Amino acid sequence: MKKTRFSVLDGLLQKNAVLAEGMVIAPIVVCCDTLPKALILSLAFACITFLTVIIASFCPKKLPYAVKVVFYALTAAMVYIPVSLLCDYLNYASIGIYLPLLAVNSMIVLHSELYFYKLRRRTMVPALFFHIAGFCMTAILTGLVREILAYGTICGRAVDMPLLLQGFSAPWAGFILLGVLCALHRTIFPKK
Amino acid sequence: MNKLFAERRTRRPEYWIVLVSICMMSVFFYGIRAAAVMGLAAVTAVLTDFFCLFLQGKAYRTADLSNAAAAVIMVLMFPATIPYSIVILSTVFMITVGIHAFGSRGDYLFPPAAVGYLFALLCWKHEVLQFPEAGQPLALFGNDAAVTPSLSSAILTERVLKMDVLDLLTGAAPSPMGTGCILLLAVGLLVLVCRRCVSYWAFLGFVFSITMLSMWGVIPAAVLFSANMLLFALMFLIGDMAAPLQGSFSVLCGSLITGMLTWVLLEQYHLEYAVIIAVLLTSPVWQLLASMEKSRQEKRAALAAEPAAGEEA
Repeated sequence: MKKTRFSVLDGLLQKNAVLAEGMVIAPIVVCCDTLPKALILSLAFACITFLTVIIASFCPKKLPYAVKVVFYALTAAMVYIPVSLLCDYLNYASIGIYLPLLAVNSMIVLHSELYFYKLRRRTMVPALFFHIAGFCMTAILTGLVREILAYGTICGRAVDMPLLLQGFSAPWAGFILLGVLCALHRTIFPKK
Repeated sequence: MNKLFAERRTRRPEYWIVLVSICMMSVFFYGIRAAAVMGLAAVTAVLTDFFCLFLQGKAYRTADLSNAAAAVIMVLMFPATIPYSIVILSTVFMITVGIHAFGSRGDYLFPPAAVGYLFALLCWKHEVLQFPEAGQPLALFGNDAAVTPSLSSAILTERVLKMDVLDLLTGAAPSPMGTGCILLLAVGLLVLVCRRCVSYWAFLGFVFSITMLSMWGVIPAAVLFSANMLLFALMFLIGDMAAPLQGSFSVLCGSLITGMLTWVLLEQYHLEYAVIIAVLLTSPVWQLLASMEKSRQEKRAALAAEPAAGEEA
């Protein structure tokens, strides 16, 4: 069997969680219609996922998966509390119900068990960092493009756009834009 | 997934004659601008189609020119004062998402013209739903013409037709470019039904459902059919969805459901573009009917082949 080269940087581009693996799509599609919301979503996702996966990595591996998932969710719920307080303190943008929903995103519940916890901790931490960075990059790009096309602004500051596509603030446009990004990703990084 | 339009029949010349007639009528009412809008949509459709096929590594065939007709059908539902940028973007969206995202070359999940229209409606509602007066000369560039809501909007809001019948029949009301001249649309529909370009059962089911339901509503059926793009959609959207189906019962069911949903959206929500929404929402139903028909035909073919195989043995 052909041995594939492993790189901690894979999570940023080649194995991007959203574009390549199709994970955690819903928050990007619904929430990322402006850059401020994308930034808050990225911050919340990064904090919750990073801390939860690191803390949950100390869970005994011999436990059944069903028990471990409950442990991961409880850990994420505890991490969510300070992150939520941080978002309230910043008061930059609101992502509504998708903030608590980030606590049970598939990177914590599923991908950690299938991928991260099979790595050594000194390899897992940078790999996790770059996977989270990949998600954040996708979210910010989506938010930026949609805000420019739908509102003609970047972070509330007007940009000289000749024509606005107001429908791009709706979730359907998020799906289409994400599909286009996934297609571009597949073109640049074809699956072998 | 069983694609609805995978076995599309070749369109008859009558279809193109009616479409060209409607285009000519819109040019008569709105001048050179209507021709420019339609021409721009057709050219954009061909170029986008060519680019998408190039990305897929496929060659451009003559049959692919039918996508240009879909673009023309889409812009005939727009006002003549629609900005050229909206025409281009809507056409690009129609071709890339409405056609190529689902496989292209007849494998459409939804009628492409309806997809493009809905995109334009969601992004630029004001530009799509404001119409100039028919017969008012329009400049090729610049949008100085006075625009008003359409006759359909007035009918749905005020629940009564306040217009001379002759003006209504000849298309003198503010309306989309190709859907205003009711007389021409009615004659064209009759021709297409008689020449079997539009299924008789689709026509019957759609008209029957709206006529019967309008008895419970406020707006009479005749007034409903005189506006709201119903005749146009029956010819070019519902007729297209019914074309691959061979069973009369399937076509009747599909058109009844589409008609019922159209009436509900017209009467309850006062949407002048109700038929477009109904067509898009009932596309999966037509898909289901087509797949049921196909499996029935395959079973019949298998049953017919079994005795023949037995005899040979």
